[in-house]
Order: sequence, then C-alpha cells, then structure tokens
Amino acid sequence: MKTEDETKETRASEIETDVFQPRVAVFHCRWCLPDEENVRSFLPAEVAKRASFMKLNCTGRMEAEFAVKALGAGYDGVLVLGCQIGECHYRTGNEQAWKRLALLSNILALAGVYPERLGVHWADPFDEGTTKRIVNSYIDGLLAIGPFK
Amino acid sequence: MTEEVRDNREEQAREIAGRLLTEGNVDGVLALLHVMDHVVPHLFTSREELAHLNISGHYPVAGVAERLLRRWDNNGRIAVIARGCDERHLIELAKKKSVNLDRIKIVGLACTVDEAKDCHCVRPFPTEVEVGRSVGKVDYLDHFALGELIRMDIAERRKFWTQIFDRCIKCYGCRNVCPLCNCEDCRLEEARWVRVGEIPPEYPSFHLIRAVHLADKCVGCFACERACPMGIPLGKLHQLIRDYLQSVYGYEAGRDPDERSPIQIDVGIGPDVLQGLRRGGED
Repeated sequence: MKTEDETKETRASEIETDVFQPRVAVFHCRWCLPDEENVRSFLPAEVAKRASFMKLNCTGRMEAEFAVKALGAGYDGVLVLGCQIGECHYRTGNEQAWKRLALLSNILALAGVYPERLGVHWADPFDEGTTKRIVNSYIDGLLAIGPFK
Repeated sequence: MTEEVRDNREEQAREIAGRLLTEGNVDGVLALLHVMDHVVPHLFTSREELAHLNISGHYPVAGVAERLLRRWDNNGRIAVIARGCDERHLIELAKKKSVNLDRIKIVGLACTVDEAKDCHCVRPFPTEVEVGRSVGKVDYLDHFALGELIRMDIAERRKFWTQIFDRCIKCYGCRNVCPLCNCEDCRLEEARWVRVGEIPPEYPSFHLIRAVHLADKCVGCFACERACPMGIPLGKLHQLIRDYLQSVYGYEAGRDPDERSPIQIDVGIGPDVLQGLRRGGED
C-alpha cells in the first residue's frame, strides 16, 4: 500500500514523461566550443539526454542539407553554435554559414517547417551565461511549437 | 497567338539555322525536331533536315548541349536555338564550368504570351532576341496564384506540402529533366541522405535537399514542374526561393556568366542579409 506522498510522486514522474522534450541536433564549432560536455551543459538536462552533438571544424562546413536531413531523420530542431562574426578561425566561415542558414530558414518557412526549429548562435567562449540563456530560450521556442513529426 | 505568327517564328528560325550551317561557323544547330507527333532535341547538320525543325515544343536543350560538347573534341562548335530559360541554363552551366560559352552560338528565341503563361515564366525572353518578339517581363503573382502560398501560415503550408509531397513516386523526373542537376553523385540516391527504395519519400528531406542544392542555381524554367507526373508544384517553390535571393541580394541566377552566387562568395554580411533568419531565441 502506497502512501499518499508516494502516489503523488509516481504521478508526477508519469506526467513528466508525457511532456514533450525536443530532440535537438547540435552542430558546434571546434574552435570556440571544442568540448562536447561543455556544449551539453548549455542545454536543459532532459533535452541534453536526447540531443546529438556534431563537432564541425568550422560552421562554414555546415551545409543546409545537414539540417534538412536531421529534420527528416526525426529531430525536432537543429542548433548551430559557432564563433562570433569576425572571430572565425578561417576568417569568414561563419559568415558563409550564416548566408546559407538564412536561405535555409526561408526555404523551411516556405515548405511549412517553423523556421524557429533552426537555431543559430554565435557564441562568445568567455560568456557562457549568455550562450546558456540564448540556447534555453531557443529550446523554449521548440517546446512552444511542439514535435516536428 | 495565331498560327500565322508561330509559322513566322519557325520560318525565321529555319532561315537563321540555314544561314549558320551554310556559313560553316558551326558544326550543327541544336534545336527541336518534329518527329511522329513528338519533339526531340536534335543536332541539325544539313539544310534538308531543317524542314522538320520545331520551335513550339518545350524541352530544356541546355543539358543536351552540355553532354554533346563534352563528348566532342574541343574544336566542335554548335548553335543552340534557345529560349530565355535555355540561355540562362547555359549561363549557369558556364558558371559551373560545365560548358564553354565560346563553343556555343546562342540564337535567342522569344516565347509568346501563351507559352510564358504555360511555364509560369517570369522572364520569357533571352538577352538577344533573334526569333520572334519579346513579350517583356511578366509579373507572375498576377497570373499564378503563388500569393495563396505566401498568405498561408506555417501550419497551413505544412499541411499543403505534406499532402502534395506524399504523392511523390520518386521517379527522379524533376532531377533528370533539370539541366542544372548535373552532379555525378546525387544525394537523392544515397542512403546516407534519403531512405532508398521507399515511397513516398520522407518529409522534408527528399524535396528540400534538392531545393537547397538548387536554390541559387535555379533559373525558373519550370521544367521540373512540367516533368512531374504527380503534379507537384516544385517550380512554384523554386520561384519563391528565387524571389528571396532577388529581394535580399538582388541576385538572379542565369543573368550573367561573370556574376557569382552571393551564397558561394564572400559578399560581407550586412544586416539586410540576415532578413528571414531567426537566431536562436535572441531577444
């Protein structure tokens, strides 16, 4: 026989498993964010558990097709984290990525995918607080629009 | 458009082709051949054949020109009777170094209003018109109900496109007909990118991989849309993407062989370029 408190607890955990937790594909630059564990720490714990992390040599390697493929493969969102504009190790890799992702964002919107599923942040490695805040508000956005499939 | 005008264009085309062949500056004239109620691309090499030259058929001949020149030795030179879209295809192929424009003499063919409407074409004329008369630029929004798609919200578009993409039988007609889809290894055939041997293809990978790959190359010929046996309005999707590049960068594919795509070169990054991109939850 369970006590009232125990029953409550079981219910709470049941409810929690029903709550939608987005699956996110995270692409991060190896120059500003080389440590995967560090990137993981920016995400809420539940989301980090289901997320996949792909380390790129530069966000300039980020093809729009990567994001499209991730969405097709069952991810709810794609997050790209790279160096701040002007700080790219290869000078303009992140700018190239930005143009491509802006184009993709537009194509996604035309094809009926919420462009909010695509998150891009140029992170300052010395300001993890800001990165964490922005990543979390991106996740909040995903929670608001719900699962992709 | 009357029959009379069409005959006139055909006569004009035959006359120019005949002259080019007689002068001997070119080894052949690439155009459409009327045979058994169909048109096929054909390299005309003698004046006698020209009686069956057809100009009212729709077929993107640029891909044929590319393959033809690639197989020939480097001295071969051909003339192509090219509509506006064919010329833009050739220019885009030249940018990819797939064709050498020095080996091609473009004979510009202007489309009629009906043809332009049929193809939803925004720019139904080549830079230099030698056959027919240019009907000028067409504002497609008036004609082609694209506005409807623009007015939909994201959820409505999702419903619209999933229903439509679900019809896809993966015949690859859109890819095969497109002169600019000439990669030797196609991602749409690779298991790493799409599920092979399954229809309908998964949303959105299959169609959007092609869309992003062609985004800054598509010249808006609508050949994919016409080739699709399931009536998927791919051309309209591409037209809207072309609109984006036009509005943000003022770039239009197929205009000038020396003009590079802003997506592929370093153009700096002004705030207007960022339009349309939602940065991760930035406030």
